[in-house]
Amino acid sequence: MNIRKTLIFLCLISLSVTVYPLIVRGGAAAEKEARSSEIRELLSGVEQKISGFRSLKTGFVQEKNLAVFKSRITIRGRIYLQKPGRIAWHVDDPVRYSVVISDKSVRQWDEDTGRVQEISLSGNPVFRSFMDQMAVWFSGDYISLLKDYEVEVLQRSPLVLGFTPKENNPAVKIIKKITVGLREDEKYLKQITILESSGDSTTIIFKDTVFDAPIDSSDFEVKRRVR
Amino acid sequence: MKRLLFIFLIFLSGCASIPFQKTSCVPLDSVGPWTLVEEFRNNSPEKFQLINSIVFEYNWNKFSGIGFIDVNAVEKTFTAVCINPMGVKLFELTGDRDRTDSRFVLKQFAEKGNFADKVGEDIRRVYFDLVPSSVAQISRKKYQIKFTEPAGTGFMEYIFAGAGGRLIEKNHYEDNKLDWRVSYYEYRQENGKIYPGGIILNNYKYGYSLTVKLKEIRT
Repeated sequence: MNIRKTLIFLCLISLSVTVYPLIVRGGAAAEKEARSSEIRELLSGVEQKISGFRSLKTGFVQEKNLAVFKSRITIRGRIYLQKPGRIAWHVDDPVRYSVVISDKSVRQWDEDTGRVQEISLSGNPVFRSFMDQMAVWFSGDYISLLKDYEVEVLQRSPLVLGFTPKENNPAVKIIKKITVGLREDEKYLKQITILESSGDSTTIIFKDTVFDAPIDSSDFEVKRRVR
Repeated sequence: MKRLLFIFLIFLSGCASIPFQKTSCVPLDSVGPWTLVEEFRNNSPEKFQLINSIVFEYNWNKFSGIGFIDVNAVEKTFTAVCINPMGVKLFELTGDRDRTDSRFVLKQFAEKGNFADKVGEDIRRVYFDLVPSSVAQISRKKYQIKFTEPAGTGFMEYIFAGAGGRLIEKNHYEDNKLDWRVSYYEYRQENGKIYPGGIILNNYKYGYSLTVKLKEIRT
């Protein structure tokens, strides 16, 4: 009798050792699938809310934390977006600089050189990559990022999302994590933080964002802009 | 022919517009040269962090950036980071009097040979060794005092002028030709120390210039 009980006990142990992980793994996969589906739904909602404008004006404060100095550089300026495909990025402080990107050209100007320069995006992959990334982050087209980033919800209200580059994403060498925080009304971004592998981080805080306000053509000129 | 080309280059750089005020002409007849050097040494900061705007000009191409530099002028060490106006890091270097270590250099710059070493060398020229040694020979004009001393296989000139008799030029000659020059402008005072508000480095050998505008002092 004792031997029988012992055998049954051993069988149960053996079953639990072999079968339980499979059940758990299956459960974990299902859970992952459910989470992935939830994230996709969430991002779709974000995309719909954020993309609901034709034009946008916003001020920004960009804080670049340099790990090597334990100090930061603060850059202030304005961003103008006009759909489809026009971005103007004006820096007012500590230098005056402008870049305007449209489908046809990229023009930049800065006060110190005093020159307007046309940039070839094909010959400038770093700039191209930077601008492409910015266009995605600013437009809210986050579903397209699912193939390159693991996405997690860091906070529900107001929504804060964390994007960690996947192993196969070349950005993994430089970027540790990107955090996107939405405004209370979830109509646009409140801030983006890019944490780099080097320990540096950049936070862009958006201020005084206005949707669909009339945009002056001079807002998309790189030179002679008036603040 | 080479001499003509050199004169032409000097002429060109002389014609380039300088975005800083010229140093005012103040008579220095009554000032003792070594007293002036000592005062300048005492007024210069030993450790400082600066935020600058930087314009690099080469072959009619210009590009600008924002520089953050930490200097210890006594121990002769530095750390420098340059970002573009959109906040993208271009390079990060550390160095001392002899060597430069590259912590990060954007691929486009890294492809251009020993980029980090060249930048490190320019940082040393601009921020280190701002006063002549005691072996320097002195020559005076009404508005300036010049110290000349051997430097490597060439020689170095330190020119002091303006109100307070501050360093306005470091000129390095090789084979009696001006090799490079650093010009200092618009000194400003903060916490009892003086900082040039504008710096121009002209490298005549390689034909490029750096214009540095002081934006912020952090001590």
